Amino acid sequence: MLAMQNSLAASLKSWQSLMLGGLAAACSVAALGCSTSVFNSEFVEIFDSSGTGALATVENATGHVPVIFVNRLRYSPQLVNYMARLNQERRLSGVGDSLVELSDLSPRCRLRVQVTFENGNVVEYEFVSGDGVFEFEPRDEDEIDLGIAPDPVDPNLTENTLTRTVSSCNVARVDIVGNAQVFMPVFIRTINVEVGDLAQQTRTLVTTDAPQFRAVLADEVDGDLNVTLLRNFGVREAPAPAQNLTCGSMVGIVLSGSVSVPFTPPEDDPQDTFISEQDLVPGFVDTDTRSAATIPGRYEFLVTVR
Amino acid sequence: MRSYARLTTVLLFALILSTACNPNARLFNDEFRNFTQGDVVPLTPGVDSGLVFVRLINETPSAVEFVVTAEKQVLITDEEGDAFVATSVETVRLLTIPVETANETGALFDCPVTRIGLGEDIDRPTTDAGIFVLDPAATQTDQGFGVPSNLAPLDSRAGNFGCGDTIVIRAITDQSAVGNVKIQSFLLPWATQPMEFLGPHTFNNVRIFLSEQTPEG
Repeated sequence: MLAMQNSLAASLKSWQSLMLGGLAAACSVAALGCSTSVFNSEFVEIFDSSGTGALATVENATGHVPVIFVNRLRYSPQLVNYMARLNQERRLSGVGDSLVELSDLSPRCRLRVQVTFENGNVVEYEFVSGDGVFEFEPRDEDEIDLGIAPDPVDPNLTENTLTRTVSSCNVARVDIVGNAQVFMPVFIRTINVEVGDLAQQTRTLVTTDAPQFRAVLADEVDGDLNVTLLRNFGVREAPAPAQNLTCGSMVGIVLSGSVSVPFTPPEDDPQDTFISEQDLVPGFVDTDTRSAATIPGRYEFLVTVR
Repeated sequence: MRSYARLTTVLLFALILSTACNPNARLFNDEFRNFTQGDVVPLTPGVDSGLVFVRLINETPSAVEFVVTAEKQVLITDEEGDAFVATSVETVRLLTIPVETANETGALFDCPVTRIGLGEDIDRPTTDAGIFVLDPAATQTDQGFGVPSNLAPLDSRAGNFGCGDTIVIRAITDQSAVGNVKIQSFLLPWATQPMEFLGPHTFNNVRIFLSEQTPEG
């Protein structure tokens, strides 16, 4: 009986050692045969004292999730015409000697995107795209006396473009955070109108806003979601988060629409003469909140996952 | 008994080999499988996508901003109809955070790309900052210092990379390097990667998406 037990124990022991040996060998062969980074990088670095990195390896990712931003903005025809006039007067910067037509210029815009990984860590990117075109400060002494704002020395106009990023798996969701912003390239005047006893209007310049980035805001609505003030995009068109992402999928964010501004007769407009569209300037009357709310235009967001 | 043990070992051995290398076997989860084989989702854009992928890895204890510049040769026609080749440069700045997964990021560039390097001026890799290392104690993201990459730009004309490849740039801690950060570069050629995938064709989907976004699209 004892001999039988000893025999069984010996057999089990040899079976175990064979199993372990076989497992180790199989894992090694599988790893060597199919992986490009068997050893960890620190171990490999020991053999790479030259510092050239020739023997160093880097581990493969488990996959990637690209986030792509597409700027499909255009300037409104009225704004293009106005900028063409500015260009003729040499008061438009950023066009240079480019052969690109003004209507083909891509308005500058930016938006922040937050990538949330499945482990809860987050990273933010600021997508920036578009041409840095803007109106010069008028050099006329009289205009300076009127309080026209100085040059828009905005470092964001020289910021590098970023429209494509790639995150490693596993990404849980991608959100647009804060408001997208669009660069309004022209000075905008706020004008006060006073009506006299004989119905004559006195127009005075209240403020002049220099070219700058402006937030793209949702329409204002009441409790029943009826629009009470039209701004830059409908509440139902608000950008949706991309969630439940699988490894290897991509997220596309498209911002389309028209950069526009209301136009108004200038403050020195003689009331008794006909005013053509050529004489209008970007601006609005200070009591006209509806026109002011439409700046910087009307937009649509589209978020897709593939 | 010993023959049973041998048989079990052989079967186990065969099972591990087949599941590790057989594209249809699903013993391992997708993440592990893609890590070893890359056939669940692509790790390189592939030549058909018309993209070059620059993968950036931060293995330092600090937040690191990579300054990646891609140089292209573009054909320009002037007003008189004469064509000439000009160099176009695209620079992106990408921030990485020293926590898992957020320590990696990447950028995609349209082919053809002539050269890729770190820094605004890739011809000055020993003097211009290729990365910006943020002070770990900083409360503002503009507190830190720039570190030259000391990496010569990768040149596609010299065969350093090709369209569809993945270039990997990694920042690691090295006490002997300036700023205690050393930069390394690696290449994952698309030709070494599988052509078929079980999951989404990531980069081809990017190409299709971009082609749909033309003004006429």
